[in-house]
Amino acid sequence: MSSRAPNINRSKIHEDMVQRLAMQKLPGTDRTLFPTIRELLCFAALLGYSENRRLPLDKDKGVEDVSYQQFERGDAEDLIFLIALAETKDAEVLKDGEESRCAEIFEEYANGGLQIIREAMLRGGGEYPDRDILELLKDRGFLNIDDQEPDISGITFEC
Amino acid sequence: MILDEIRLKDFRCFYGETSISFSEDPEKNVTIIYAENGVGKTTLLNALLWCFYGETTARFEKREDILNYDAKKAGRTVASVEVLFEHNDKNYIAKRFSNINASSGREFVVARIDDGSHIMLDSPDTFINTVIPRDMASHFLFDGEHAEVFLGENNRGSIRSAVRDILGCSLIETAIEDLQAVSNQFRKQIPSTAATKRIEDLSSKLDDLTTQIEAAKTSIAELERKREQTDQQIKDIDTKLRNTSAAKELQSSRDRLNGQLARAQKRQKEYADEVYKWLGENGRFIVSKRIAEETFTFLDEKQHRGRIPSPYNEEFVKDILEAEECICGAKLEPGSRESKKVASLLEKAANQVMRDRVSKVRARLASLKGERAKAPGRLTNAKRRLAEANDEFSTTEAQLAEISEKLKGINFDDIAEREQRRGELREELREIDRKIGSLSTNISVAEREQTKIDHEITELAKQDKQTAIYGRRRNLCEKIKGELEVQLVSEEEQARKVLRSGIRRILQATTRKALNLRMTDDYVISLVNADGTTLPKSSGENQLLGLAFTAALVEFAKLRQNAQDYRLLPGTVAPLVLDFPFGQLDDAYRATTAEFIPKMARQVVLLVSKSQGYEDVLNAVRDHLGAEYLLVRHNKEPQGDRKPESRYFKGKEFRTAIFDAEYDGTEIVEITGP
Repeated sequence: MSSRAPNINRSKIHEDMVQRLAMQKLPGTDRTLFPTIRELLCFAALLGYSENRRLPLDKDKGVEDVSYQQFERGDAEDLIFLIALAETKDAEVLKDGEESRCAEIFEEYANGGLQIIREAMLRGGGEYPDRDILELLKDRGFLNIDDQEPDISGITFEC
Repeated sequence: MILDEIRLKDFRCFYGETSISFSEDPEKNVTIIYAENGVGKTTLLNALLWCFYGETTARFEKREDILNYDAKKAGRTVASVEVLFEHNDKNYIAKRFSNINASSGREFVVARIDDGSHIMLDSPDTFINTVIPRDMASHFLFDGEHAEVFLGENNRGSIRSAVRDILGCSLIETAIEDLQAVSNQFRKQIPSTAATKRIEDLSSKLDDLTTQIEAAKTSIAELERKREQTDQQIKDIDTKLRNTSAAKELQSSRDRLNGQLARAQKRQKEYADEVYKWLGENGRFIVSKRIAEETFTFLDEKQHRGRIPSPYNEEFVKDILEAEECICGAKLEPGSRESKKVASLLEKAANQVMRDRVSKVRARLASLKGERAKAPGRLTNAKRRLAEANDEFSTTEAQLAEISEKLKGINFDDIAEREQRRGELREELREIDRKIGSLSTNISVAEREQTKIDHEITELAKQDKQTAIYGRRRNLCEKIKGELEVQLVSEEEQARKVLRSGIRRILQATTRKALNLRMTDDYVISLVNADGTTLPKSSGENQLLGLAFTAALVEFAKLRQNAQDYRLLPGTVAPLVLDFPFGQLDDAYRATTAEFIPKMARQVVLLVSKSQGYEDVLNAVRDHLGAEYLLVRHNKEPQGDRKPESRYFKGKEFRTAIFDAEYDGTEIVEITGP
């Protein structure tokens, strides 16, 4: 039985934006851009990692949290471990008892990612967050897919 | 409730005193009333509504002219409708009258009939509402000509309210509103200290926003109602055009194109939705390239390969140390060099948790990579399909405009005039939609603002001991309100399930084609063929669907008549009064539908006209026919060179229009009494 990580925190600095992206409906539609806050944080964390922006949370400004249970659903928990593994390049980080360290790495990348999104929305005016974020992805070349990645499916691990 | 008799006195087109006795027999439970259009079918339906609730259906013009015109001229001042009915094995009489001279006074009485004596009830309105709640009534006294009202995107509201009506949701809805009011009250009671000045400001801002939102929501509801009405008027014109030979062809192309337009619109919405959803669902894959490459490289580096996960299994190493013997047989004395060497392996050993996590991360990497390759294509596809739907929409719109132009050009009857009117109505619809759109935007902006302010108030209230208690009370109200809302949604969901299966069963019994019902959770009902294509709205099948929906509601109300629930009103058993239920059914459906009508309710009253092919109807319900009446039109005008109009029932001749009469109005003639 593995231990459970503490809740996943995010800085209050971005709270208005988080609410807009995951809780409030997009103008002219009846859906939110991200289905849940968890989904938004996963995207932000991977974006933060891609852009190499790890940003400790400014605890003075207060935090909001998502319960860890939320992250045990779907692929979110795997992403926390993946980012921790990628960051530390040390499998020890996946050992039982290291969960808080993983969570912290995830939070800081997500925080960095949120900052990148905020900048993109400032640039684009923020009225249509979906367009602003798409513009950002296009600018940074995320939408050009070349299949040059090494195929990892054939690799085996001896246990 | 079972109807026994209705007595009309100078009510609208019914001059003098006239009455109908309904068949109460459980087997022969159908009463048919034959009447041509304009003679008073709808008036009869409205007489029931007016007697019980003092109101009439939406399509009834000039509702204030209750007193018959000739009766007024003859100096009479009172119109009345009496209904005798049976409820829970007791007999009652309800009477409503309208006196043109009396400004007030009692207009409505209900009496219980015990051994011939009448015992007046104290609160007749309340009593009638327990017999058939007002909200449910319009679903039993049902204008079949507009059965299609129940279909399509624009009528979600009606269907939803129908379901809620039959569920008896008014109590729970009121409770939710009250809790909201109480919650606002608590917010206003937060005591004012210097620290709470800010709260007060926010509070009044919040009130303003609430008022704004309420007002906008009211306007939207108003507009939605108007939308349905306008839609209906257009449908009426379409029906008339369909019946005019010169316009027939054009109208049928128009019907087809309208179907096409609706489908294109649906696709537009679907693909626009896909485009919106794309980022939320695919964003993470798109930005996973770097992490996938790096982690892969790291996992692939030779020096790690012996360690991830380490070749030593923690549990195994522990076992060896405990047994103080290696698997090769060498002794591992505690504290010895060998033992320490083995124990040091533990620091690097992979435990089960880590092994699991590594393999999960690996699987996740593979899926991220696969999804990342697909994600941009999904967006491109959705965008392409959206563009296609947009194109189709505008092409179809242009074709429709062309037809409209052609129809205007036909100089025939008053088609051109109708076409013109239709154009105006369409314009009104567009205007309504535009207004609804902008109001919705205002609401979402205001709601966003509200959430923010609310959050701030809660935070501020937390900081202050004096105000915390009000915050807690507010939260409690909000919590209960939320709980009730959730319950209401789940009740509705249950109801939808029951109705869905009811409608399916009914459709299977009445159609020979394989038809499927589609009813989404937001109440868009449509019929689809076996191959999944949606049937056009104007089809007989869809009218059948309207009937099936009503039948399912009746069934559901009966099912709930003894419901013991502190939140929802119990259901009821009521007679079903159907006006014009065969308007657009082709012959094949007419007979099967008519066969099914007697089963729709304990007591059924049918109002039919010749154009609805009542011969078929008559044949199909013959075994269940309990009574028949004919509405006859009286005209003061002379006969002139008009041909006498008459009909034969059971070999006997009945005049359907009488000229040189003493009044203009309608007489009810009994063909066979119950």
